[in-house]
Amino acid sequence: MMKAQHFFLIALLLSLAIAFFLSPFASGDPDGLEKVAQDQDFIAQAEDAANIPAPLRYYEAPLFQNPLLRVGIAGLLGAAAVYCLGLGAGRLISRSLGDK
Amino acid sequence: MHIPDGFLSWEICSAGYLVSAAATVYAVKQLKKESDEKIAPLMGVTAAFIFAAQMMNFPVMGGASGHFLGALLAMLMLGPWAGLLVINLVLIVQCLGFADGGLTALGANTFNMGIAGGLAGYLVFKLLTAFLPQKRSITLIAGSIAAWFSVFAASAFCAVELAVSGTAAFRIVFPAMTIIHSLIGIGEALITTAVLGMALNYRPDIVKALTVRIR
Repeated sequence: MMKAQHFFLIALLLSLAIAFFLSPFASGDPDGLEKVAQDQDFIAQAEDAANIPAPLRYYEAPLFQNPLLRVGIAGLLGAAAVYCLGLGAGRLISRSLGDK
Repeated sequence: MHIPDGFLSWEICSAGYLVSAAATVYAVKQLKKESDEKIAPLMGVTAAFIFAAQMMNFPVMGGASGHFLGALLAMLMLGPWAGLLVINLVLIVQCLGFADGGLTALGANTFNMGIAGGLAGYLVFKLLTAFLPQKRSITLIAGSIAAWFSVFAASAFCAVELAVSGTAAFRIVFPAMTIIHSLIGIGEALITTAVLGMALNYRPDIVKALTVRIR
């Protein structure tokens, strides 16, 4: 059987690759909720998310001119960030187990 | 299905935060009971995959798109409580880092996608597999049905919240949301089954849903 570490590493690299290379080519059409909101005329009620100081607003990294790179870098950073947070949360919880 | 600010009333937003916060606290408590240090790397990897896959909007019909949700997949791989935490983390990062989903609606989004979608889907999976032999084909079929259901359930709750908030009429928004997400759910089922199948091929032992009994 494949080593667990290898499996995790391959899955992580695959996820980062999807986030970096493929995400710029995702469909830009409105998603299910946005589409319903447009069809039923309440999309205008959506407030611009200006109140959230999101550094990678709308999945675009600032500083990059190339549109593919803007989205790709944003995706890569996001996937890497949630990887670290997931790993960290898991470690925190299992560490608190060890203390008992 | 990330609800932006402005769609939901403050009552629904507050209720969403309350229920989601309570569920998160409960999830951490449950996780602490299970002594499994191996879960941390899988939590990270699952979060990264879900984040990446959620960016991949695929066209469905009439100029609309859908994307993978991943709540059920996370719960199948990690168990319901670690899975719920991972979904929460992804939604928080999407909201604060990417302005995807409103800050006031974050609780409701967590409720819809993590609790209503994920936990309900997980329950469906457990019910479907409870009385059947633990075979690969049965696991995959149950996983695909549960994945479809998780998206359907999330969209149904989302529609109810929009209606209760007075944003849209229930008799219009409920069918509209559930019909379009019934289609998006097919994509969810395909991706969940593909990933689950790969995990079963290479490391069946890490698929938590197959090793723990429902409590």
